[in-house]
Amino acid sequence: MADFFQSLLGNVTNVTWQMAVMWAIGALLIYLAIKKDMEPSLLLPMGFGAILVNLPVGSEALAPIKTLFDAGIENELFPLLLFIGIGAMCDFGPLLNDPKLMLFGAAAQFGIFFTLSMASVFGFSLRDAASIAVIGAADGPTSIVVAQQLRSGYLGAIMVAAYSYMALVPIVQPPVIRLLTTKKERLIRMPYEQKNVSKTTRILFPIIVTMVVGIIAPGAVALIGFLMFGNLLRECGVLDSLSETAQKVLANLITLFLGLTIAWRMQAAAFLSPQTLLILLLGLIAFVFDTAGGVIFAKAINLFAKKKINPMIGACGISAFPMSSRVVHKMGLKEDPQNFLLMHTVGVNVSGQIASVIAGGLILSFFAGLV
Amino acid sequence: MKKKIFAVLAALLILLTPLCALADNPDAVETCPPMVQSQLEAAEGSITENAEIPEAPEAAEPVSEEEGASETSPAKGDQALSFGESLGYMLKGMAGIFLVTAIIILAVVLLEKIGGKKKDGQA
Repeated sequence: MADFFQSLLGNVTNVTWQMAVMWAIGALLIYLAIKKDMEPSLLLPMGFGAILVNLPVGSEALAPIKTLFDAGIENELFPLLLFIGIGAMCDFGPLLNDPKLMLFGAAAQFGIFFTLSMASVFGFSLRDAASIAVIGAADGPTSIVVAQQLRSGYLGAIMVAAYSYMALVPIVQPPVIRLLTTKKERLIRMPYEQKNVSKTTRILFPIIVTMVVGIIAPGAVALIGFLMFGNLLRECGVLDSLSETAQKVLANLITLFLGLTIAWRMQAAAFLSPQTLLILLLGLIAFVFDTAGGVIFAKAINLFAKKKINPMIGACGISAFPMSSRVVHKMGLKEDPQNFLLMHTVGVNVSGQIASVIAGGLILSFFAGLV
Repeated sequence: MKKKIFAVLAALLILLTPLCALADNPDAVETCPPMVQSQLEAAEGSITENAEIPEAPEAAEPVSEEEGASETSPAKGDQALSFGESLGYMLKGMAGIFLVTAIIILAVVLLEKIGGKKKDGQA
C-alpha cells in the first residue's frame, strides 16, 4: 500500500518553493488576462505555460514545448510570421495622408536608447542591455527577434515585461503626458484634412519602406519585410482572401503557440532572479521615456510651426497599436469633447510600428557583430 | 511650405548620412577623404570616439593579463557598456531612425506628387 502511495504521490516531494512562486506568477498572468482583459491572447497562454513548465517533471516530459520553442522562437519564425498578420491589419492611410507624422514615431523610440544606457548602468552585459532596451519598442515580435539574435539570457522576463506594459499603456501613458503638457497644449485642435491617397502610393509604400530599411538597417530586413508583405497583401486589392487569412487565421494561430512557447524561458531557475525585477523596472523606464520623447518632440516642433500640433499625439509614436492612439484620443476628448484627434493619433501610432522595427534593426546592426 | 519641407528633409539627409555610415562601419572615418574626416571629427567628435570602441579588443587584454584570468578575454557582448559608450549609441540610434524616416517621408511625398500629377493628367 505504501508503495502504491509512494508511486502516486512521490513526485510531490520534488516540488520546490521556486516552482510554487512560478505557479503564482502564472496564475497572476491568467488573472490579468481574464479579469483585467490585459493582452489576453498572450498573457493567458504565457500564464498557463509558466505553470506547465514549472511542474516537477523531467525535461523529457516537456520535450514537445522545447520542440516548439526550437521550431518557432529559436529561429525567430513565429514572430516573423506574426508580423505578416500585423502588417495586414495596419492601415497606413492616415500616415500617408500626412507623412510628417512619421517623425513622431521616430522621436518616440527615444526610450529604447535611453533604456540601453540605464541597463548598462545597472550592469547588464551589452547583449542583455540591448535586448532589454527593445522592450521600449512596445512590440513583442521585435523584442523576441532582437533578444534571440543577441542570445540574451532573459527572453522570458523581457517578453513578460513587453506584453505586460503594452497592456498597461492606458495606465502608464496618461500621467506622463499630463506631466509634460499644459492644459492649453492639450486643448490644441487639429482639424483633419482628408487627402486622396492614390492606390499606387498605398501599394508602393510597403515596397519602398522595405527597400529603404533593408539598405540602411539590414538587421531589420526580415521584420520589416514580413510586416510590409502583410500590408502589401492588404493594399494590392487582388488578394483579399489571403489578407483576411493573414489578419485572422495566421495571426491567431501564431499567437496561440507564441505565448505557450515563450513560457519555455519562464522556468524558475532562469526566471526567478533579482534581474527579472530590474528588467520589469527598465521596461517601465522604456515606456515612460518613449512617451516623453514623442511629447517633447511635438512641443519642440511647436516652437517653430505656425500650425500648432497637439503634443499629446507625440505619445502615440510608441508602437502599442491601437491602444496608444485610443488612449490619447480619449484624453483629447476628455479635455475638449469637440477635439477629435483619432486620425492623427492613428497615423502616429502606425508610424511608431515602423519606427520600432527600424530601432530594433539598428540595435542589431550595432551589436549583432559583437556577440 | 512644400519647399520648406523638402529643404528640411534634404538637410536632415545630408547631416545624418555620415552618422549612419559611422554606425554601420566604424572604420568609415579612417577611410574617408581627409577634409570630410576632419569635418566629421569636428562635428561628431564624441560619436567618432565611440564608433571606434567596438573595434578595440586590445583594451581588454591588459586587464585579463594582469588578473591572470583565462587567456581569451570575454566577448564584447558579455561586457557591460560604460555610460559614455551607451550615450554614443543613443545618439547614433536616434540619428539613424530620423535618417530612415526622412528618406521614407521624402519617398512618400515624391510618390504622391508623381501619382497626383498622373491623376490630374488623366482627369
